[in-house]
Amino acid sequence: MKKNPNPDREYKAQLEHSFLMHIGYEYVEVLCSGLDEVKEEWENVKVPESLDRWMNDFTAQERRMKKKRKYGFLANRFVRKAAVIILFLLVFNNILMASVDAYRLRLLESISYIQESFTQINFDLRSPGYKSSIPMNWDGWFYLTYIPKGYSLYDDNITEQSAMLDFKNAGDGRIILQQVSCASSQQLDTENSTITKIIVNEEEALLIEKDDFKIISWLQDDIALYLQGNNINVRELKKVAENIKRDEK
Amino acid sequence: MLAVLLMIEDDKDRDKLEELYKTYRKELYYVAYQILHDYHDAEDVLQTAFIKISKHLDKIGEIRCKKTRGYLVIIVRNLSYDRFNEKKKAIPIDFTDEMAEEADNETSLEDYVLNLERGRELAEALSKINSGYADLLTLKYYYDYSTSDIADMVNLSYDVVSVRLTRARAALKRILSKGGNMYEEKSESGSGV
Repeated sequence: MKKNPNPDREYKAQLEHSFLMHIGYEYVEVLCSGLDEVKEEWENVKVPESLDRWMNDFTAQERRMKKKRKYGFLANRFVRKAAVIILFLLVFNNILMASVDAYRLRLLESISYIQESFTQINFDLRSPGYKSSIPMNWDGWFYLTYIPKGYSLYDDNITEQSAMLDFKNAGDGRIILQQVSCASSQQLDTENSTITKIIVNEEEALLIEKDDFKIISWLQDDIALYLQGNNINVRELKKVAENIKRDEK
Repeated sequence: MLAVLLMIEDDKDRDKLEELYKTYRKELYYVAYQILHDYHDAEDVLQTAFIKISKHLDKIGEIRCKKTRGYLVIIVRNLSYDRFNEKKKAIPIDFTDEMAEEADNETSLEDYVLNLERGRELAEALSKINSGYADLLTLKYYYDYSTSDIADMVNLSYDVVSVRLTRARAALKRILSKGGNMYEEKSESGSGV
């Protein structure tokens, strides 16, 4: 506790205060005694009725003001509480909506693995088909049995995990069949493209359209297939996709 | 029996202000009229007094006690003097600076203690010098009102009340130092504040 530098002065001030309070008390006693001495005079005083009426009106007004202040105070408290509750509900609602959206998004991601501008596609295993003019070591890989008029084999490529057949026509037309074993996964550039679900050979496939390029991606047997065409319509590309066969040796 | 019970007034249910008015209206009207000698002015003063009292109802305890009675009388009296001076355009007499300087000596602790038993005599002496000083001192130290509240209640400025409280204390100290009564001629304009 802070030490009082002037304890005597403070004590004296308190004593003076008490003394003056005592003087005040005695003064009130003197006042009341003085009035008691003239009691007979003031007891017979006639107070004007107008004063009584004024007093009734004033007290009624005070009561109304008091009620108004009380209800105003209660209303104010209620409004503040209601505002806090509404704010809380709004915040909670927004969090919930965001959570629901986030949950929905995560669910979609777990099905299709859509990440920003790329579409990652994984497949389950299915059964095989027949071969056409394809490279000799094309064991186990798919080949096209239907190619639109004017297209011929331009390039091919084969690795342990993947195989590719590239067809071109005299113009800008190109059909590329890429296939990978399901042991690996592919990333497709689907930014600014339209993705549609379709059925190819009774299998669910994705049709991705981006400018002049079209890609049909699906799983057949244990192979992930990506059929890409440019300057070709969807119906024709789909026909190519539905007529691929697997080289069984 | 039921009728008797119904006739019994329950003080708690009555409005405090109404109760104060009902109890003290004749007395207060008498006090105001004694100073103003005009029924309308006395009525106005009482109306003003009760408006001011309504703002400090929380400080009023029991209705029928000397403390409450004294408080109401002090307020009405001071407002009556104020009204009187206003009408007559009179300047109330105050304690002179000379006397205030004379009484500026430090009062010893013994003075306070030894004069406690003379409290009533000192209060009477002070009220005779200037009843307004006694009123202000009482409002300040006995009723424990702030200087600003006192100023509002008696229709004076804060500075004026401060100065008069200082002079009231000085007047009391002078009475103590003189060891007797000190009188000052009351002016025709009316004493009080």
